[in-house]
This record gives sequence, structure tokens and C-alpha cells, in this order.
Amino acid sequence: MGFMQSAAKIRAFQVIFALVICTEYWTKALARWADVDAADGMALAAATLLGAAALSGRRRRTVFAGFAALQAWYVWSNFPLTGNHRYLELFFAALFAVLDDEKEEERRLLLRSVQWTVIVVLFYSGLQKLAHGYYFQGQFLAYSLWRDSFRTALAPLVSPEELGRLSSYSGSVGDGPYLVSSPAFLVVSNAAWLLELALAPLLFFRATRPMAWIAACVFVLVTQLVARELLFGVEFVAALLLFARTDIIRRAVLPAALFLGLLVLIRLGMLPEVIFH
Amino acid sequence: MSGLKQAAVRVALVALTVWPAVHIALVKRYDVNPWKLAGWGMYSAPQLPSYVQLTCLTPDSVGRYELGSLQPELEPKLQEFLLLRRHLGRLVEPDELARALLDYYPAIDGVDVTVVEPVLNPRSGMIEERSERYEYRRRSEDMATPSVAARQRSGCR
Repeated sequence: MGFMQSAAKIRAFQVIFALVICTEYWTKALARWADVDAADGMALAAATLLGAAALSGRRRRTVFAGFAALQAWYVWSNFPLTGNHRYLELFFAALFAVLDDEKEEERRLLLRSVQWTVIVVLFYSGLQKLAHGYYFQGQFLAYSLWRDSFRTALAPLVSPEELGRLSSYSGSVGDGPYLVSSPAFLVVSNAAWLLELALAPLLFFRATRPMAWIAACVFVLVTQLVARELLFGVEFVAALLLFARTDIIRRAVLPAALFLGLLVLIRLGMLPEVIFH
Repeated sequence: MSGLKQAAVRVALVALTVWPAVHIALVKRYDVNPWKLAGWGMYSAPQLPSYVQLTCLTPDSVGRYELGSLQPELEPKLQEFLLLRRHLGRLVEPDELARALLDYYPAIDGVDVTVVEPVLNPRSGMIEERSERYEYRRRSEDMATPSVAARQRSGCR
């Protein structure tokens, strides 16, 4: 990979990354504007200024040190409620602050570190599902049918009788069994953890990487859409684009920015309400 | 690139790689919430809300009585405990809550905190109740402070 190409890829990812963090702070604040306190207001202002600085492209390592400090503050002040994507953002921002992507050796380590992080997250997401055993017989997804987005996506996979039975549970003690007999539902349930476990090593090896990053992007887009984890979805898909040989991620900056803008407009009430996280 | 910088990044990457394995062990051993603490276990298990049952222990003939409602002053302590418990599992015990109750009710000589946690049993697919009981007694030499020695824990899992 050429120096210019890998540098451009990293910068494109940094722009999307910075925009995602800004959007997170803005959409969170807009959702409960009346309750925004001084600390939240300061964090919002800091995220906005840092985002603008990241877009300008100047003093990027200082900017990402600022993002790292901001996310560290967030993790600390919300611990242990903090969502995992905040830890991921803290880690990425710290990498961007520590490693200088103007220097070839550090840029190579930076790119590999981000890619390794993506592989670790994907692998352990699958391993956790395997370890806790809620996917073999569709238990977790059956339980999640109370959420509209899961219900919309999964209802076509079960018979009306089974859907009726699973929907009749209220999540109270004594409810169940949250076990599914529909083969299609079980395939989807087990594919979730199997794909995560399989895609991680496939992303690692050079020979399988081109196929793996495309499959991983599709998989992450679908799962994050169902879970309505739209901000994390944008961030993680952008990170997966770093596995591509080409600099396709540069062409993803504008669509990502437009999509994130739409999410802000939704929170502002200028577009129809859509639930997302 | 300086050796220190390279080493720092490598150590961070090793920590990032090893921590989720430790996290899985913590989930298994202490019921830590798999969704939290950077173990990448989002959507791996349902999150069901836990609650507590409080029983006051008295030295008189009443013996014990359930605390039906909590005084508003004590509510933050309860909510803080529940929040920590839901995410950190059995790494968090209700010592502070018990201490606050014993401070607030000087006439009682003990408190029983039962943490009730609904769980989806992955084998049966049923939502079951799991409870853990913590009993605190005032120490005779220091009536205001429950000690670890005076605490008993029992569980129904």
C-alpha cells in the first residue's frame, strides 16, 4: 500500500470518527435538552470544537488527545453504565494522539492497531454470545421480540403461532420458554455468533481479507440496523473499510456525514421520529 | 519511533486483547453485566432489572419485619446500590445500604438485604428468580457500624 493511500485512509477514518463522536454528544443532548447540566454542556461544546478542529486537519494529534480526554471523562463520570463504544472511542482517540501518521513507521503501526482492535471486538462479540449460551435455541432474540426493531426483522422467520406465544410473555419471572423451533430463526440466531467468530480470523489473514471485510460490513450494517445502534454501526463499518486495499473509505466520508446529519435532524424534530442509539 | 512509544502501544493492544477473556470470567463468576466494561458482550444476554427486599431485625419480640417502603432520604442509597449491582454483579455488596439503614433506624439491631435478580435460564428458556441474602448485625461494641464479621451471606441460585 502506498504511503499516500494509507495516510488518506487514516485521515478519512479520523474524520468519520470525529463526526460520530460529535453526533453522539449532540443527539444525546438533544434527546433531553431540558436536563442538560453544566458538565454535559461543557462536554458538548468540547466535542463540537474538537470535531471542527478534526475537520480542519490541523494539529490532529492534539485534537485526538482532546477527544481521548473527553471520552475518558465520559467513561469515568458514567461508570459503570458506560456503553462499550465509548471505551472503543477512547482507545482509538488515544492511538491517534500517540502515533504520528505523518511518519511511515508509526502510520503502519496505527493502521494495524486499529485493524487489530476491530478484530478483537468482533471476535469477543461472538465468543461472549457462545459463552453465555443464549443463541443456540434463539433465546436472546426471542426475548428481544418486545423491541419493535427486533420484532420487525425477526417476525417473518417464525410461524404466527410461535410469534404469538413468544409475544405473550412480558419478561416476568415464570415467563417462557423463550425457546424457538423455527429453523429459519435458529439459523439467524446461530449465524450471529458464528459469523462474528469466523470473520475475525478471516479479517486477520491477507488471503481472506478482501472477502471478509465486505462480509463483515454487510453483517455489521444489518445487525446494527436491527439493534438501532446506528452511531456505533457507522463507526464500526468505517473501521472495517480500513481493511480494504483501496481507499474506499474516502468515498464513505460524505455519505457518513450526511447520514449523521440526518440523525441530528431527527433529534431536532425536523424529520420523523426514529428510535436509535 | 521511540521504543517507549512502541512498547506502550503494544502493551495497550495486549491489554485490549486479554481483558475480554477476564471479563467473561467475571461474568461467569460474579454475574458482571456482559454488556458493560469493554468486554464486547453487548446483546449476548438479556438484561433483567433486579430489586431488593429489605427486612429489619429487632431485638424485641417482633423479631423481624419487612420494610415495605423506604424513606426518601434512603432512596438514593438504594438506587446507587441497584445500579452498581446491575452492572458489576456480585462484586458489589449492599454494605453501604445496610449501614445507612442501621444509622437511620437506631432501634433495630440488624438488617437483611435480599437481592432478587430475575434471570433467563438458557437451558430451560424460562425466566427464573435468583436471590442472594445479606444479613448485617450491629456489633455490640459499636452499635452504629455493621462490620464484615457481622455480615452473613446466603444465596439461592
